Amino acid sequence: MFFLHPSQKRLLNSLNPVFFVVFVYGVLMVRSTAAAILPPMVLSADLLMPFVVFFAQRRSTWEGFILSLFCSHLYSLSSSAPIGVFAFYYLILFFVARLMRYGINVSGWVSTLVALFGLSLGGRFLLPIVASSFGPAWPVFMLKNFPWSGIFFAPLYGLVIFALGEALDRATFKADKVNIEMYEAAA
Amino acid sequence: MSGGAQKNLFYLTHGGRKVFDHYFFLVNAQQKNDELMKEMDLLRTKLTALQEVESENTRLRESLAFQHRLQSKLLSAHVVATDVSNDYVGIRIDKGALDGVQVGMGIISPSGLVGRVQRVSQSYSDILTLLDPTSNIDAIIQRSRARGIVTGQAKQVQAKMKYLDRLDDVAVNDVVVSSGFGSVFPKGLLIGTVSSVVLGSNGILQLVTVKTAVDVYRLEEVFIVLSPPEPEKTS
Repeated sequence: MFFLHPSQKRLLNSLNPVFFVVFVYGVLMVRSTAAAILPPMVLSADLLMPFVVFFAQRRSTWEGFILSLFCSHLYSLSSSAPIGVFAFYYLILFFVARLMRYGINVSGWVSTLVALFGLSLGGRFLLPIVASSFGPAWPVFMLKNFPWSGIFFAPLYGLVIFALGEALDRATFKADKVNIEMYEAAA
Repeated sequence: MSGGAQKNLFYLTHGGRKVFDHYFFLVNAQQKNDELMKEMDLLRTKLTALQEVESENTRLRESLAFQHRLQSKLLSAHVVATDVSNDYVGIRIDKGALDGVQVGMGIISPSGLVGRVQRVSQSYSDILTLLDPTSNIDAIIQRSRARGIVTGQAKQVQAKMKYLDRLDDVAVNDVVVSSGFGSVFPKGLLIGTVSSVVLGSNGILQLVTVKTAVDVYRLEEVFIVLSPPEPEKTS
């Protein structure tokens, strides 16, 4: 892997977004076809949110924006929600996570967990507001419909997604912008 | 004396044979045991497959009987996926525009009403189920004929029946069926049973919860209502 020709490394690097889209697509396929056997905490968790936070934290604004838009549109197509609800919702989450970079550097597992939990909880209040602008969404507001197990499961699942995402970045020679900035600052 | 010797010899030879059978032949027994275990695993797999075929056969037979009983033009379809979001409840079926499916058509199963077609592609269709919060289905209480709208609340096998005022006769365990208005679903199709009735805070409307007959997460086959039966003409 480390003895690849520079052109091969560049090719792998350019294919990185494609690998991420395939990764997200795989997760959505499992979620949509294995609902009968998945535990309720997995079913009620926001499975795309950790990816969006990863794109917000580890990608440039435009690259992260395009990846989030593409993945959230895939999510929308796999849901019976009106088209646009999830694209809009995840793009807001993306910008919130992007703004969080000025407060939290999501690099260690504790900061990742905190950021993901915050967005998992905050997302539950944001989604009904976004959804209500596309049609009736009152049940999402109800406390008895609040998916507590999913809110707590999403950050743990997000840690795995972050670890896999970083591994995929290393495998495709994707430079981590945050690490480069830190390296340059130290130098 | 010889009898005693014979007896001892008999026990000795039998004992020796037992030792031989249990210890020296044990190698063969272990091998045979492994073979039998493998055979048992194979038979168990075949049995499971046969049980699955039998279960499918029963389901298909019920579906066929249901199709004959309903007198509507139906098209059967398989459920291929469920909604990725927990806040919306939809399913995807393997029939689309090429099979004559159109947006708004009703979806039913032998257990009861499922929902209606929301989006159609060439070979697949997305169904908005009755458990979705954006779904509205015209329904009546079978016993009292009180009319309302069944809408989902994104919860498994639980929906709400709206617009039933305090004077409407509704009780727990009442059967809720489709009204047939709008010609999307056949009249009298089972939706569920009333699981709770509470007077609303405004004192005008009743909050009625309906336990749906269909669990959309466990559906495997459904029917698309291509053309509902003609309403009976009164002279």
